[in-house]
Amino acid sequence: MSASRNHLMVHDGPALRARGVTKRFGSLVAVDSVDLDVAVSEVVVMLGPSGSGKSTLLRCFNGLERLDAGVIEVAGIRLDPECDSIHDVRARVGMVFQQFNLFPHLNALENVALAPRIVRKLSKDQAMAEARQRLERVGLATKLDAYPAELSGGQQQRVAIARALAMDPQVMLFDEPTSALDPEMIGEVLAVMRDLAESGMTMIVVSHEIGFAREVAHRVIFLDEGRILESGSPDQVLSAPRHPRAKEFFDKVL
Amino acid sequence: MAHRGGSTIDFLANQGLLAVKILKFLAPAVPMTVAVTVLSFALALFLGLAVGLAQITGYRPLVLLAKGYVDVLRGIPLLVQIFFIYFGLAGFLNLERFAAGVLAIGICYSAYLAEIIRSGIESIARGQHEAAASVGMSNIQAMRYVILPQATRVIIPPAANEFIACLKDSSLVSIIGLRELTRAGREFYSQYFVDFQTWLFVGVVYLCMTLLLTRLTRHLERRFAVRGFGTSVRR
Repeated sequence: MSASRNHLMVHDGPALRARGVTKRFGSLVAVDSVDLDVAVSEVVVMLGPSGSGKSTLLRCFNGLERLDAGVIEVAGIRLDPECDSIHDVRARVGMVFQQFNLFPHLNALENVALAPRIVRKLSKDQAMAEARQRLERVGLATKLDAYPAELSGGQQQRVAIARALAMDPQVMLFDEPTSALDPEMIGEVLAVMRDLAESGMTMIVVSHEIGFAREVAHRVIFLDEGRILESGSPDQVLSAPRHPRAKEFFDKVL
Repeated sequence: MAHRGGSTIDFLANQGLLAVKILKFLAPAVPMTVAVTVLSFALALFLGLAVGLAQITGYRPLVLLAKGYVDVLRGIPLLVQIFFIYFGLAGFLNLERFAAGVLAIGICYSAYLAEIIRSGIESIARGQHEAAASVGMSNIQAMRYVILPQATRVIIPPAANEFIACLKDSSLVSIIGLRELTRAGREFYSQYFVDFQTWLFVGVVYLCMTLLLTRLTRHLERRFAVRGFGTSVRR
C-alpha cells in the first residue's frame, strides 16, 4: 500500500493493459485470449450479446475471476490473484455491479466510508467527511442516513458508484450498471457516469445503453464468443460494423 | 390428590406451604443451572465459530476435520458424552464435576452452532463478498465488516433456540452429581416423597427461565434488525 493512489500518478503506459487474457468455465471458453489497452482517461464501452464474455472479461480486470492464461496490468502493476497484492490492485480499480451489491446493514454514508476507513486507514471523521462529499457529488446529499433497502434502484446504484470512487481508483469498471433499473431511473445513473467521464476518469463499461456508448465512449468494443470482433470509434462500430456478427447484432438492437 | 381429612381450605393452605417449601429448596440450585448453561454456551459459541469458519476456508484438511467434528458430536447422545468426559476420561484428566459438565455440554453444542454459523455465513449473497473484495478488503476484513454482521442476523434466531435447549440440557449434569435444579428436585423428593409437586415446580422454574430467554432473544433480534431490510421489526 506504499504506491500512491492518486490517479494523476506518473505512469507512462496505459491505465489498463491486457494480454492473452483467457478464462474457461469447464469446457466453455468464456474469454478467449483477449488483448486490450485502455489509455488514461479513455472511456471504453463493451457491447455484445449475452454470453459473449464481456462481463467475465470485466471481472477479470479486478481479479474477481482467476485467469486461465494471460496477463493484466493496472497502471503498470501486475494483477495476480494468487498474490496478496491483489487487494492493493483491487483498491485501485473501482467496480460497479449490475445488482449494486451495497452492504445492506450499513447506511449510505457508512457504505461509502467503510473501505476508506479499513483499507486506506483514514480516521473515522475523515472517512465520513469524504464520504459525505462523494455522496453529494452523486446527488444524494439528503440520503446520507438511508439504508440501501430504503433507496430506489437508481439511488442505490449512485451510492455504489460513490463507494467505488471512495478508494480513488485509477480505473472504474461498470458491469451493466443500468440493467437492473426501472427505465425512469436509468437517466440519473448515466448522468453520474457522464460526469465522471468528463472529469477524466478511465472507464470500462459493459452496457446495453447504445445511446450512452455513442455519446460518451471514446471507443466501442464488440465481443462475441469471448473474442473482440470489433473495436473503434462509436460511429464506426455502431454505424458501419465490419464483422458480420456485429452487423447482425446491431441490426437487432439499434 | 386425595384429601387427607380436613377441609378444602386446609388442603389448599397445605399445598401453598408445600409450594413455598419446594421453591425455597430449589432456589439455591438455580445459580448452578445458570452458570452451567452460560459457561457451556459461551464455550459452544467460541468453538462453534471456529469450526464453522474452518468449514468455509476451502482448505481441504481443515474442512474435513471440521466436518468430522460436527458429524461425530452430533451423532452421540449428550448424556453419553457427559459420561465419557467425566468417567471415561477420568484416568487421563481428572476433571471436577463442574468442569466436566461445562466441557461436555459446550463441546456438544459447538457442533450444532458450527452448522448454524456456517449456514448463516453461506446464506450471504456472493455479491457481498465480491463487493467487499472489489473495494480492496482482504478476506478477513470482508468477513469481519461485511459478512459476519449480516450473518449474525440470520444466526441469532436458531442460535437462541440452541441456547434455550442448552439450558434444558443442563439438567443432564445432575447425573454426575452437580447440584443444579434437577438434582435439587431429586434431593427434595428423596426427603419428602412428594413427586407430583416436586417435578411440577422444577418444571415451572425451568419454564420461567426459558420464557425469560425467549424475551431476551426477541430483544436481540430487534437490536440487530436493519431498517427496511428483510424483517418487519424496526429499531
